[in-house]
Amino acid sequence: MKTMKLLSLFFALLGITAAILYIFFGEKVQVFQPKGIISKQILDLILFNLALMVAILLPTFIWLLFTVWKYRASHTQSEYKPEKTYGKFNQCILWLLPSCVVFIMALHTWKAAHQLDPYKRMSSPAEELVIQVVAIDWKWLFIYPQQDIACVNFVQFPEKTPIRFELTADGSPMNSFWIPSLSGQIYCMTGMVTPLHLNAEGVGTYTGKAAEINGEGYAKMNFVVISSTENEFDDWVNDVRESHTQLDHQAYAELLKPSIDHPQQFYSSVKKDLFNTIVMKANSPI
Amino acid sequence: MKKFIFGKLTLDALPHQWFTIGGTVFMFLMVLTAVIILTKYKRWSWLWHDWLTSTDPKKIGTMYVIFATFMFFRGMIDVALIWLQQALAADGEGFLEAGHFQEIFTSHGDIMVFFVTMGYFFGFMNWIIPLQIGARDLSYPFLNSLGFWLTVAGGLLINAFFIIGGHFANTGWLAIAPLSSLEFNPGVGVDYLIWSLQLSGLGSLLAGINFIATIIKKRAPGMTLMRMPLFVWTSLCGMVLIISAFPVLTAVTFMLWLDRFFEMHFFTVSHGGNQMMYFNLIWMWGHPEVYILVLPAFGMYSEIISTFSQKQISNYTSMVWASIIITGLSYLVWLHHFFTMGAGPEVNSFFGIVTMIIAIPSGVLVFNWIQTMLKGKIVFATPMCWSIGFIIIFLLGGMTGVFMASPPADFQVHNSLFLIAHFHAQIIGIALFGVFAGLTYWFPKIMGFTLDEKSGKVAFWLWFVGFYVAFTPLFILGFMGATRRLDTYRAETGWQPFFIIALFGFLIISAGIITQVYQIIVSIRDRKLNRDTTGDPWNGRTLEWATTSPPPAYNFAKIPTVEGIDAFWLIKNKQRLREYEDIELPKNTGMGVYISIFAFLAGFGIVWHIHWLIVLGIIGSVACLIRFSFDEHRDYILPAAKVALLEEAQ
Amino acid sequence: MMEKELDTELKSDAKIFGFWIYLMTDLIVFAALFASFIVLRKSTFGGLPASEIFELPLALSETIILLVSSFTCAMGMLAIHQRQKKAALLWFALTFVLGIAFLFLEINEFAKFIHEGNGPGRSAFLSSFFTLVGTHGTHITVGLLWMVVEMFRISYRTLSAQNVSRIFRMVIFWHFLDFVWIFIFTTVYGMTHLI
Repeated sequence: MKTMKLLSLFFALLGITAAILYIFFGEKVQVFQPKGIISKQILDLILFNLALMVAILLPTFIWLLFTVWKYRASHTQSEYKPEKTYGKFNQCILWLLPSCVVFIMALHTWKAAHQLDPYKRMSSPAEELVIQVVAIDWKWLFIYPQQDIACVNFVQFPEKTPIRFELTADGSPMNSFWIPSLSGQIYCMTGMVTPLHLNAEGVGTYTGKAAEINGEGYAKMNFVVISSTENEFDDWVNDVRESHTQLDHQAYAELLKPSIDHPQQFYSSVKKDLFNTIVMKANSPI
Repeated sequence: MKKFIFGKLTLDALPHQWFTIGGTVFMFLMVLTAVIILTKYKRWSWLWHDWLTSTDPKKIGTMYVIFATFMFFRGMIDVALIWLQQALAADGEGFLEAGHFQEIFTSHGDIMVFFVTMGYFFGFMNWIIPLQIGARDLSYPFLNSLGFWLTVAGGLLINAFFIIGGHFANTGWLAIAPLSSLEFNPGVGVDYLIWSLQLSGLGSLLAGINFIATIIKKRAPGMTLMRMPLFVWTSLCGMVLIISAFPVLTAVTFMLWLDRFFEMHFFTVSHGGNQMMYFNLIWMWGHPEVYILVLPAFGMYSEIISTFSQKQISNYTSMVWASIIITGLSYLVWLHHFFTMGAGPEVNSFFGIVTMIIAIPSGVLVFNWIQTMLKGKIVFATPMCWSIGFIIIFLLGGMTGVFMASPPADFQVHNSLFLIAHFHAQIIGIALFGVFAGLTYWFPKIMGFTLDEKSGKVAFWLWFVGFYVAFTPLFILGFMGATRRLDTYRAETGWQPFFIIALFGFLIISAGIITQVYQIIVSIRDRKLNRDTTGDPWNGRTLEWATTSPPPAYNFAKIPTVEGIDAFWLIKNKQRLREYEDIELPKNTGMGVYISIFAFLAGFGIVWHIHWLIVLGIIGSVACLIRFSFDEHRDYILPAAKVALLEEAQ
Repeated sequence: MMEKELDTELKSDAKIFGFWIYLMTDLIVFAALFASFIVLRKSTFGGLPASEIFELPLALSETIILLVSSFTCAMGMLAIHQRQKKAALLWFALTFVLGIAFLFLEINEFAKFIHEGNGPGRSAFLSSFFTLVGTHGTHITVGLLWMVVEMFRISYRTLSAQNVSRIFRMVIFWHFLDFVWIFIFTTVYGMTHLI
């Protein structure tokens, strides 16, 4: 009938618009264009879940629309059984169907949650690169303990290398660290360290962002992420070493002052054990 | 001395920004209009004696609905500002500052959840539950009135910042600590949020106790638990959730307030405070809360679908158990709101899997609704349209929820617009559509005349289409890495076209709302033509349709005896009773109003650290309560002769 | 005879049913405060642990006072059932005095801690202690006020079914507070000494 036709047309239009938009903006749909091993595995999980959901949803949807069409009052040809009740067998089927789907999803979720645990170190022939991250109002400080350099709102690392981020916050409420192209997000809290592992599959430039509201400068708390070749990375580290700006006590105190849309900064050396000092600060009186 | 009288209040707190001046002027004009109309038509006495002091749940229900409607429009202003800002805000071209924008979505969330959705549902429950169980009133009529007025006091407090203060909380609707702690938020905004929630939370708690006692103790003879209408069942489940979850909200917001008022350290970043504990406690309340919002709606849909398919609901027992299981499971899933906090794969998986398990009874509900329609004779009245639209959106929203229940998948969509789209699909699709379905379904019963069907259907289609146009882009935006609560973003992200499409969807929804307003106006205009003379305009199946429209104050001249599910359907054609007896009814009382005024003053005093006002407010409310407890003549008798007169007149 | 009438009235009294539900919600508020205390009990921010701040003899005295007061309160309710107003008033007055004694000891304890520099703002542990025990103390204060109101009611009003129901609710409230105190004594004072 007319309403059904209009409804189908509407959903078709919606689908076509979505398709067109995807063609034009596809590249920017970061979750569906994974550039890292972790984000790729998460996408596999997402697609698996989606497929399961559609498997049970689509038939239900069709059943609903068909029932509504067939048993409308004006359609006098269809049977009308007002006293019809459904027995135990019917109910068993209705309970069993979603249970099966959920059971499959649950098993898969358990496995995936362990496999994609952000705390889990990634196995790789390459050596792990450790980067310590401090969320400060409203910028990100990246400390490279192995290279003794640091930068603000910018992070670079070599491709095909397991990266271990160690995250905390200072003078900032709950934060969330997220590079959608490369992996899922994780919260960073004052006085605590949360690890996150990822591995970029190729060369590229990505955006990282804050995903938990933390005050006025929240929307502008983005950072640039570059995965480069091994050589480019080494060159970059050397360039930073030549900037001759120290991240000492004073420089860090300056950084702690709240600032919005903070420009990128680079430090050629870092005060000893800065990260640990920051973490311990909140846990005992000075 | 000044500090003693005024606390933290200074001249700065008076309105001096465009929106606080605008809000103050607007509220002032509304009050002025009301005062003028009441004075002109000499209705002050009527207002006080017939409405404000009433203990009749039908009247209290109507007041809840009117209050919720005001708050709905208040919340929609927030929505308009949010959508407009985000459509324009590429590369900082928005018109709102970051801090202000953050206050807007915070108040939007709190108003819509606490005052609109809960307000409407308490309204419907007051209207309909006594009627459906064959009772005359709730168990505690005074508490009913008090609960309503405390909710109003909370609603006033949440809007008070327009006039005094200038700033609301900017933390998001749940005031997550430590952002909401004194260190990061020294202003009064968060305090306004805390105390408006505490006041309305107390109102909700009292309502919860009231409805449970009523449903357990005041059912008509013959109405066993398994013969109750499904709306009563799911409301009971919702009320059980209220009495068990709201105390946790009381405790956690109280602790947050202690941190702020007395400089304690529950959730601060140093001195041993535990931010993660705030998340756990607030969501321990928060998750049951969302089921409080949707469970009564599920019951409503069951009745509406059954009535308009002209067939009994498919497997009543299964529906009851599905609702009970959902209620029970809702206590076990709270951690899915913060999978990204790093609890580890075992803990995350447990909560994720239990979340998925909730999908099973939810699926059973949907299947039974469809089965009810199967081999029925479906009439597409407006309430039925809303119900079918609900099922479609519920399927979509539920799917996205189960999808996020997988912790690693959630790592990529947590706090993104995908999450926003999911929960709005649920709240709008289930709860808000439920409000509209309930309003169109029960309006004739309470008001005595039916609503205009044509504009009702147009409104539905505008809402349904508008919802999809508005929220589908948000799902895609989530996958594009768009986080929630952003006041600005860079144009190169490619997000702006999607925000613009979403804005267009909002405009369609607004057209739907305007159509609904038009529907009310036209229906009131045509009320004499559309008078419901039978009391049963939809050929209903439950007891509320056994009374006149509107029902008399005492509901039933004689409490009916119930013989099965769909009680009214079974006694529809039986003879009308001629023997009448004396009926005892509760008197009106202004105590609910007075206590709530004192509660409001105490809340205001707490926000501004005006100690004498806090003391005055507390002493005032307690004194009123004590005074009221010595009032031993709370009821009056309606003599049988009078009942006879009222009944014969119909 | 009259006893039996009052008893059956109380059994089906709708207000008492609702009051029990309210008490359960109050219990959940306390449960949340207990949970917070247990989570935060070691977060002393470099300060003294619980075992070195709390004095068990004091806590024990408070416990005994409350337990006895529960007994005297029950005796008062019994007197109400037997329609003996004078006896009821005496028992409730005794309960009141014991309640005051409890509050006196508790306020003294709080003052001492604050004086020593262990106030609620010192650390998360102390915040949770003061809040949990303080919330109980506030409830005791409310209970005492309620007791005065009911004693007034006994003196100047009749013992109708309605009024007996009100007195009964006050008595249940008092017993409830004693019940919560047992948990406070065990968890806050007892457990922190052991774990």
